[in-house]
Amino acid sequence: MAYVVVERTFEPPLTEEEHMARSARLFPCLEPGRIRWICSYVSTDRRHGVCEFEAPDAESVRIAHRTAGVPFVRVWTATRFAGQPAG
Amino acid sequence: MRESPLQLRLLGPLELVREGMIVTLPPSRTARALLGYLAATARPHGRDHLCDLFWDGPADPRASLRSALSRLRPLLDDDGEVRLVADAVRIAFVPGSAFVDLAAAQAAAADADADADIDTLSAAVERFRGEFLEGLDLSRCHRFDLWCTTERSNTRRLHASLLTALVQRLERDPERALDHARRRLQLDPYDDRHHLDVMRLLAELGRFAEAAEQYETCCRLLREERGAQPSPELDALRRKILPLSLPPRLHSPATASPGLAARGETGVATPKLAPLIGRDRECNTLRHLVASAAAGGDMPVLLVTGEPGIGKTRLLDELASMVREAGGESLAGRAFEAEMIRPYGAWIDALRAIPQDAIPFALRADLSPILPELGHVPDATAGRVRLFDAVARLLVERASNRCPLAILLDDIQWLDDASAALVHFLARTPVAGLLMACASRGAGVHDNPAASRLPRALRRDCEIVHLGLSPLDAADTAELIRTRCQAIAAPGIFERSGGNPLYALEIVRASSDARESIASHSISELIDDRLDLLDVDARDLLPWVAALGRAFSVSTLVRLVAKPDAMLLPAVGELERRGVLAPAGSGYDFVHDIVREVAYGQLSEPRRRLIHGRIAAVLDEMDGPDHELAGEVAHHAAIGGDRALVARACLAAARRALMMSAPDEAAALTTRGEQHLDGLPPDVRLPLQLELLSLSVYPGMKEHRVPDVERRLARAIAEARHAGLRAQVHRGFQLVADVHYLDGDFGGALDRSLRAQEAGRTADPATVVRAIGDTARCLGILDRDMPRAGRLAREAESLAEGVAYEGHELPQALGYVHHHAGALDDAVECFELAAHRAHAEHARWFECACLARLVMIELERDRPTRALARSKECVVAARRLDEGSDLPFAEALRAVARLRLDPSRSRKPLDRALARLRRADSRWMIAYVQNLAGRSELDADQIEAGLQRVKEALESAEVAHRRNEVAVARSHLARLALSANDGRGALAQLEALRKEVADADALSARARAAVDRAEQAVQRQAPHPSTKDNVRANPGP
Repeated sequence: MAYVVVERTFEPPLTEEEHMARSARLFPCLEPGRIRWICSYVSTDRRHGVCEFEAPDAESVRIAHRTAGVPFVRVWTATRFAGQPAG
Repeated sequence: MRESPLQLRLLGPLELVREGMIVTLPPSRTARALLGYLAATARPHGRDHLCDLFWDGPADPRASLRSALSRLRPLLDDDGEVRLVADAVRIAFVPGSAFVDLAAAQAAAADADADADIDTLSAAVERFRGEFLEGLDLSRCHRFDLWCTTERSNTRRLHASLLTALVQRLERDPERALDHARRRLQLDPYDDRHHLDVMRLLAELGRFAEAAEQYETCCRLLREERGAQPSPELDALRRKILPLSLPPRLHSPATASPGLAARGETGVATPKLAPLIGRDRECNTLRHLVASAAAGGDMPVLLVTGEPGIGKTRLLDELASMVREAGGESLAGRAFEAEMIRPYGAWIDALRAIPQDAIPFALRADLSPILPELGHVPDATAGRVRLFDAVARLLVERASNRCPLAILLDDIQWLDDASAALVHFLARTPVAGLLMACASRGAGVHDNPAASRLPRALRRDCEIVHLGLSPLDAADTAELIRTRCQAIAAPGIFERSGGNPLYALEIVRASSDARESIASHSISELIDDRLDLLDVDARDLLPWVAALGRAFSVSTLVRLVAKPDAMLLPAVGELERRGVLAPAGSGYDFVHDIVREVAYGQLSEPRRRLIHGRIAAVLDEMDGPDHELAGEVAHHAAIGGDRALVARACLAAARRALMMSAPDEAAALTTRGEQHLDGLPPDVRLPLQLELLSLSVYPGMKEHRVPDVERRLARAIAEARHAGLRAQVHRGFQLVADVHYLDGDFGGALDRSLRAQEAGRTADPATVVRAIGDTARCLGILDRDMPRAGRLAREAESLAEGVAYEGHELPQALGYVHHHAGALDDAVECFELAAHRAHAEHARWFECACLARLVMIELERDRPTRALARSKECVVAARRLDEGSDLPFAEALRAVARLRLDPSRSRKPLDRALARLRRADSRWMIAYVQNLAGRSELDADQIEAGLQRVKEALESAEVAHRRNEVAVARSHLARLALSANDGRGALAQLEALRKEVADADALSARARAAVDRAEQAVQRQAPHPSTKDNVRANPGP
C-alpha cells in the first residue's frame, strides 16, 4: 500500500458544515477502493488543506474523490517520514 | 383558492415547495437557518446582526453571509419577483406571492376570537408538522439557538391557542373536537384542563370507559411527574361518569375468561368456585407445586391437557385458589382463536393485572412494546431479547414480593408465535418462586404450528409436569351432578357423557328443561336445543357475541348492534340466566368455548359474512393509536369479505407486531395482507401494497424480506404511474431508496443525492434512478462486483421508464456492464450517450472517462483507425481537466492505436505517456496500456519488449487489484513462455492465475477470452494429459 497525499484549497474558507458534508460524501467511497484515511490538516485560515491516505495507488484516491464529487487540487504518492520525539 | 407557487414551511422541518415539489435546500445548515430566520422574522436585518447571529467565528463572516445568500437566492427569486432583498447594509425576505405557513397560522390565531371559521382554523392547525424549524439547531451559534428556542415556545403556544379555539367552535361536533382536544393535550399533558376536555368529549360520545381511563392517565401523570392531585372539576366529572363507565379496557385481564377471573390485586372480587370433583390426584400435584414455589424453588412448567369440557380451566382456577391461600398472586391470560395474530395477546392480559405503579421504572421502556400504557416510546429496534429479559426481570421482582407467583395461560392451542416464544424463554429462565401453568386442548394444537411446537420444546428444554385430564368415573360424575343440581336424578348420564363434566352437566340441564329425546343427543345438539329456548331478544344477540369470538364488554355490544343499553341488558340477562354467558370481570364471555362454537354453528354463511363484516367495521372504529384491535379487525374482515379492510388491518397489526419485536408475526401479517389485495382497484390496492412492502424494508425485517422486493416495488411503481397515482410513485421510489440504503448499496451516492431530500420525506424518482445508476457506475469504474453492478443498472433502467431522468450516471453504468459482458456495440451506444449527457452537465471527468472507454473498446476490437479517431476527442476532453492521469492515459491510448497501425513507429510517445502515468501513480491505467502495448510488441515479434511491458502490466494490476488486467497479463506471459518453448512456465502462469482469480466466471469477456486463448495454446503444445492436470502435476517454479 502507498501513502497518498491530497492537496486541497477552499474558497470560500472551509466551514465546519461543509467539512462534515464532504466527509460524509467521501468516506463511503473509500472502502470500495481499499483506501484508508489517515489524517488531515486544514490551514488556520481554512483556505488550504492536506489529507493523507493509505491506498493501493494515487489513482484509487482520485477515483474516490471524483465519484464522491469532492474536489482536489493535486494527488500524489509520498514517502512518509515519521517525526522523532524531541530531545 | 389558487395555491401559491412558492411555499415556505417553517412549522416542522424547514421545507421549500415550488409548484408542489419539494426543493432541495443548500446542504449548509447555516444557510438553511438563515432562510428560516429571515422568513420567520419577516423584517429587514443588518448584515452585521446576521453575521453576529450565524458566523460568530474567526472566518470572514461577511463572505460567509454573501456565500449563503448566493445559494439561497436562486431558490427564492422568480422572474420579476425578488424575494431576497439585499443592499450593502440590510437584508430582508419579502414573501410577495409566496406562502409562509407561520404567517398564515399567526393570522388565523389573530382572527380566532372573531372571524376565523372552522375550516380556516383547521387548515392552520394542519400546518403544524412538528417543532418550529425542527432539527435546525446550530450548536455553535448560541444567539440563533436562543432565538430558536424562544420561537419554538411561541409556536407551541400558537398551536395550542388554535386547537383551543377549534375545540370551542366544534361544540356541536364532539367527534372532531375530540381529535383536536387530544392534540392539545399532547402539547401539554400536565394541564388537567386539557384532560378535562378530553374526558368531557368522550363522555358526550358515550365512550365512558375511555373517559374513565383518561382520568386514570391524568391522575398518574400528575402524581408521578408533578406530585399533584387532579382538580375538583376533574374529580366531579369522574364521579358523574363513574356509574356509566364500562370495563376499563376491552382486553382487561378481568375479561380474560369467566373461569380465569383475574386474581391477586386486580381489585376484582374473587369468584366462589364450585367444588372440584374427581381430581384428587391432580390437586395433590398442584399442592406440592405451590408449596415448592412458596419455598422459593425453581419450578417446572405445569402443562394441563385434555379434551374440551374436561375441566382444564377449572383446574387452573383451583391452582389460582391455592396460590392465593399461600399468600401469592396469579396472573392469568388466555389465548383466543380469533386473535392468534395478536402478538403477546395472552401475555398482555396477564401482565396488565400488575398495577402500573408496581412496575419498576427501569423496566418500563423495555416493556412498553407490549404495555404501551406505561407511556414510554418503544424502541422498535431493541429486539425481542430485551423485551423477554424485561418480562423475566419484572416477574423476578414480582415473585420476590408475592411468592408464590403463578402465570396461568389457558387455551394455549391458540397461542400466537411470539407468546409461545416468551413462554419457552421464561421456562428456561430460572425465576425463584414462579410457577408457570399452561392448559391446552390436545387435538386443537395441530392447527397452530407455533402452539404445537411449544409443548415439544418445553419437554425438550425444560422440566415439565404434565397433567393429562381423563374423564370422570361413574361415581365422580354422580357426585358432580349431585353437587350442582341436587333435584335432578337423570339416569344413564355417565354412560352418555363418557365422564366429560361439561357434557354431563348439559344433559342434566336438558333434563331439567324437560326437553325430549335427550338420550340420542350429542353435547352440541344438547346445547343447540338449549339455545332454542332463549327468548327472541337473546337469540338475536347470540350471533353477535358468538362471532366476536372472545370476551366482550357491553360497550362493544352496544356499538355492534346499535341499540341502547336499556334494550340490550335484558337480553344479556337472559343469556346469563340460561347459562350461556357468564360474567368475566366487568364484561361477559361464554360459559365455555363449546357453547360459543354451537351458537356460531347456527349461523348461515351469508349471515356470518354480514356479522363479521359489521364487527370488523366497529372494531376498526374503536381501535386506538396502538392498533391493539387490528389483528381482530383483520380476522373479522377476512370472514366478512372486506378485502381492503383486511389488508389495512394486517398492515396496522404488522406495524404493531414490529413495535413489539415480533418480526415473525409481522411477516405473517404482511403476507396475509398481501393475499387480500387481489381485485382491489389500483387507487386502493397500490397504497396498501406499497406500505405492506415497506415492512420488508424495516431494519429489523431483513430476515423476513419479501423475495425480489426490488422487482415488486418496480412493478408497483409502474402500475402507480400508469394509474396516475403520483404520491404512490414517489412512495415507491422512496422505498427503493430505502432498500438500497439498508443494503449499503448507495454509499456515497445516497449521501450525495438523497440526503438533501430527507427533509421532504420523499424521494424524487429521477434522484433515485440517478443514485442507483451512480452506485452501479462506481462499481463499474472500480471494476468490482460487476454482477451486482449489472443488477443495479438494470433496476435503475427499469425504474427510469417514464421518469424525467436524463442523467449520465445510468448510461455510463450500463456501458461498464455491457463492456464487461463483451456486448461491445451496446457498450459503445451507452458510453456515447453518457459522454454526451456528461458534457451537457459539465461533468467533465465522467465525460472523459466515457470517451476513454470508447477508445479502449475500439482497441480491444483491434480497430486502430477508429480508436485513433476516437482518441482525438478524448485527448481534447482530458486537456480540460486539472492535474491527474486522464491526459497521459488518453495520449497513451492514442500512441497504442498508432503503434497498431504502424508497428515500426517510434515507442517514444507511448513511453512518455507511460512515464507520466507512473508519476501520477495510476496503476490500473498502466496495467491496461501495457497489456495492450505488450500484445502489440508480441504481434510484431518484439518478444523482449513485450515481456517487459506485460511484466509491468502484471505488477501494476496486482497493486491496483484489477483482476481482469492480471488475467490478461498472465495469459500474455503464458503465451510468451510457450513461444520460448517453456511449457512449464506457461502452466505456472495459468496456475498462478487460478490462485489469484478464484471465480473465473467473474472475469470480463475480454479477460476470459485471453485466458481461453492461452489455455488452448498450452493444450496444443502439451496435449497429454489435460491442461488442468498438467497445472496440478507440474507446479510452476
